[in-house]
Amino acid sequence: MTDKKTATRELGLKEISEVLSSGNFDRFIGVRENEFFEAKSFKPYDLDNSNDADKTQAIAELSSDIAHFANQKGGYIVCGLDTPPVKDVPHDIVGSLRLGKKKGFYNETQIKGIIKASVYPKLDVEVAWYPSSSNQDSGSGVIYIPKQDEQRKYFIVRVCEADGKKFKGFLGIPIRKDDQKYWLPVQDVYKLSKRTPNKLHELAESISEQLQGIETRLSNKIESSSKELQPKTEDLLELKIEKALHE
Amino acid sequence: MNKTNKVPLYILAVAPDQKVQFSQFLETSENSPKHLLERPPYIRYMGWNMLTLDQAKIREGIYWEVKNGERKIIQLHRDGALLAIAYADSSFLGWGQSEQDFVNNPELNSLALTEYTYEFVELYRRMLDYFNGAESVTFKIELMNTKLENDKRLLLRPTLRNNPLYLLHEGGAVNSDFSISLEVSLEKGTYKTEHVAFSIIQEVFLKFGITPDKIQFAGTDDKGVRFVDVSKFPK
Repeated sequence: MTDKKTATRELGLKEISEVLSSGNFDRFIGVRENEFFEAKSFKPYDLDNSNDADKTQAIAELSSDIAHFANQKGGYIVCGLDTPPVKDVPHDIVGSLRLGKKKGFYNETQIKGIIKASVYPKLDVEVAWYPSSSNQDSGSGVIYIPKQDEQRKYFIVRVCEADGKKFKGFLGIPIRKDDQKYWLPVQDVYKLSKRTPNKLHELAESISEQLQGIETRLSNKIESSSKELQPKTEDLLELKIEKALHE
Repeated sequence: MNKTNKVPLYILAVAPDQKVQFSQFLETSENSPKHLLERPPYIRYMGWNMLTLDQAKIREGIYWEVKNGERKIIQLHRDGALLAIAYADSSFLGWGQSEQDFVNNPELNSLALTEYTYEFVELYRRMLDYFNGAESVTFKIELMNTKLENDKRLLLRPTLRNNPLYLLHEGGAVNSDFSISLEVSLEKGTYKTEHVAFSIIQEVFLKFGITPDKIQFAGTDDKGVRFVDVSKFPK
C-alpha cells in the first residue's frame, strides 16, 4: 500500500508478520505507522525505573499502547525502529533500524503481568523477538495484540494520562485511530456504562476466563518458554514461490 | 524466472513448521548443505532428478540457489525451506520432441513427475539432518500455467508412451492451476521418502482424474500403504 500524499508505504497485518518472519527488517524503512503498526525504539518503556512516578508513566504508556490496539483491530508494536521527525509530514515513518539483542528485550511474563494489572478485561498479547536475517544476534522485539472479539470491548486502562501526565488510579478507554491514540470522552464512557447489562455475555465471560486459566496451566507444562510467533508454513512458502517466480 | 512467459511450471516446496536452528547453513565444506544442494542424491544420473551441475550462489544472504538454465531452479533457505521450480513442458517434465509437439499434445510424463518428486523428497530428507527443532514439515505442491495459449490443458496418463497399453490407460486433463499442501510429521520413522513421495504424487495424479491404484512405478507395503517403488523405474 502506498500513501500517495506522503509517498510512504503502509503495511497490513499479514505483511508485517511476513517481514518479521523473514528477518529482513530493511523492509520497514519508509513504512509509516498506521492502525496496525507502531514503530518504537528497542526498549521504549522504562519499566525498571527506580523512580515511582517515571515507572508509573512507563506502565501507563505500555498499557494504553496495547489497549488502544485491542480496542481497534489489533496490531503490532515493533521495537528496534527509529522514526525521526520529517518536516511537514504528520505521521511517523521508519527512517532506520536500531535493533537489539534478545536478552535486552522485555520478558513476556513481565509484560503480561503489567497488562493483567493495568487493563480490564483480561487481554492476551504475545511478546516475541525476531532475529535479523543478516545478523542472528540482533533483532526486533515485538508485542502483538490480536484482534479482539467485539463483545469484549472496550478494554479499560487503569493507569492513564491526562494533559500529558500519567496518573495511577484513574480509568480511561484508549482507541487507535490511524496512527494516533485517542481517549474516549467521558460523555461516551458514561453512555457505555448505561447500556443494559448482557447477562449471557457476563456468563460467557466468566466461563471463558475459567477455561483460559485451565488452558494456561496446561500450556505452561507443555510449551517451552522460548516459543516464538509462527505464521502458517504454507503462507511463508507461497511468498518464497512468488518471489522466485518474479526474479 | 519469468512467470509471464506462461510455461507450465511444477513447483515443489517444503519447510519446517517450527523455527529451526540451521547453524551449518553458511558452511561450504564437503559435508555442508550447500554441497548437498550442488551434489544431490539421485536414483538415475540421466533421470528426472535434482542435479543442475551448477555451483550454488548465496542470494540476499537468505538462500542458496542452483539452476539449470530456467527449466530447473532449486533454492535452500536459511529457515530450512527447500524450493524447486521446474518447467513442465517438453524441455523437462513433459512429452514431445519439440516445443510445437508439446503445444499440439501437452502431456506430462508420469515417470518424470514421479521420479522428480521422489528425488525432491529424498533431497529434503537429507537436508533435515542439518537442522534441529523441526517436529513436522509442510509441503506445498503447485502446477501453474496449465492452460496453454491454444486453450489446451495439460494432460497426464499413468503409463509411458512406449507402453503398449498406453492408450488403454485413461488419464485426463487438469481443470485449472492448483496448489496442494501436505503436512508430514517427523516423529521417528514417519518421514520415509517413498511414502511421502507417493502421498504427493497421489494428490497430483488425482487432479488429472487418475486414481491411486492406477499409478505406475508404485508398490504396496505389508501394511497396505502405497509407496513409490524406485525398482520399477526403467534402467
